[in-house]
Amino acid sequence: MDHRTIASVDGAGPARRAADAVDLRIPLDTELLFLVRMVAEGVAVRARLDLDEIADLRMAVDEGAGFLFPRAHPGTGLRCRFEEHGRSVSVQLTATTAAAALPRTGGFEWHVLRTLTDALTTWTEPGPTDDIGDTWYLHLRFTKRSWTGGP
Amino acid sequence: MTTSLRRRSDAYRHCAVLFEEMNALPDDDAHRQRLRHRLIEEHLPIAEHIARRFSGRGEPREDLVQVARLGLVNAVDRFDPERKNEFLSFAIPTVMGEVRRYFRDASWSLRVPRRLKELHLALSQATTTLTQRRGRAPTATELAEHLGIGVDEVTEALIAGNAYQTTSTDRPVHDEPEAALLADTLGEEDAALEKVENCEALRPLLQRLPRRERSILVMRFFGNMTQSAIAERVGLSQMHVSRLLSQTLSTLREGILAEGPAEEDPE
Repeated sequence: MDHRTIASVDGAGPARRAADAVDLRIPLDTELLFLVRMVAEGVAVRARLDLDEIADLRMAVDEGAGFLFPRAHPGTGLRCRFEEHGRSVSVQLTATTAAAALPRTGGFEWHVLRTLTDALTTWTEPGPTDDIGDTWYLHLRFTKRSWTGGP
Repeated sequence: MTTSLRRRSDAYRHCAVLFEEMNALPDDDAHRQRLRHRLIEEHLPIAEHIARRFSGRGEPREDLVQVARLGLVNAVDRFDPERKNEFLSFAIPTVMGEVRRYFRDASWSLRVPRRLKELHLALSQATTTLTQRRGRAPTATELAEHLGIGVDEVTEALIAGNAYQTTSTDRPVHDEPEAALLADTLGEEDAALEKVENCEALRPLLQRLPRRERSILVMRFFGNMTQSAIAERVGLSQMHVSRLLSQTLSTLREGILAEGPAEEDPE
């Protein structure tokens, strides 16, 4: 599979203006993940992805949350940002962690995410210092684009 | 509900001989394969009949027929004529079990308005039609044009339809054995798994999956097939394949978590 970093897909990087994005924040509760899937799906329909691509994106949301939830600090939330650019959709999921280490990316969950998406990356950045001490933001960002010629 | 089927059992009497003939032949015998196909075809009305019994409960009729046919194939493959039972008394509960399991998997876990359920049915049928016509999955715009409704309505119905895929954490892994329907795809699994780190932890989890679920998983994630292509190969709808894949991934995630958290890269 042709795999690239986000910087090469439609030129869409993390620095995109917040005003163009849809933002959502949910508690760390897997029962609420359907909300994230619904928003991702709605944005994907707007971007004219086909049903296979939309189903892949929905699964990527689940798998991405499965990647972040076990690493998130209890009591924090999951921030989700959805961007539509041309015929592609980017989803950025952010969890708050107590460790700066970058998650291992060679396992099955990463393989699944890579198969489901066209671009995939993860990185950390320092978060605020609060009562649990220093925190980090763990980001996961993936892009799904439409490859079909349909309207 | 099986009485009317039983009454028909005379029509299938001649099949008993065919079963005996088939089971006397070695697995790779070409005539055995012909007999197997003939037995499946002869009994197709049973699958149709059972599917009809379950129709009108909110699942697309053609999906039900496909699920029932799969159940029939399982029944033909698993039937042991030496047990002296009639095939029908074995096949009917097997096929009904398959359809019931499909309903259990498909039950709507959120309350969805009736109008949206009906629209979702129409979408499912339109998706099959358009996929066959174009050789790929349709977009919402194409579905809207085909059904003569707005894209916003299609979007709403797609989302509502998918709402019943909310991942339940207590969904049991199927415990019934699956027939070797798709055995040909499983050989690729070992080679493909080597590409994944920590595959030793994954292997036992994959072994525990029902064969059909495992085959679909392998086709999507190690064979890089689209869901529509898989759907065509296994004879289910794209939505059904999507549902099975989501469930399987969820089962694997829970299994991997239970094995303990993965080590992080020191940095």
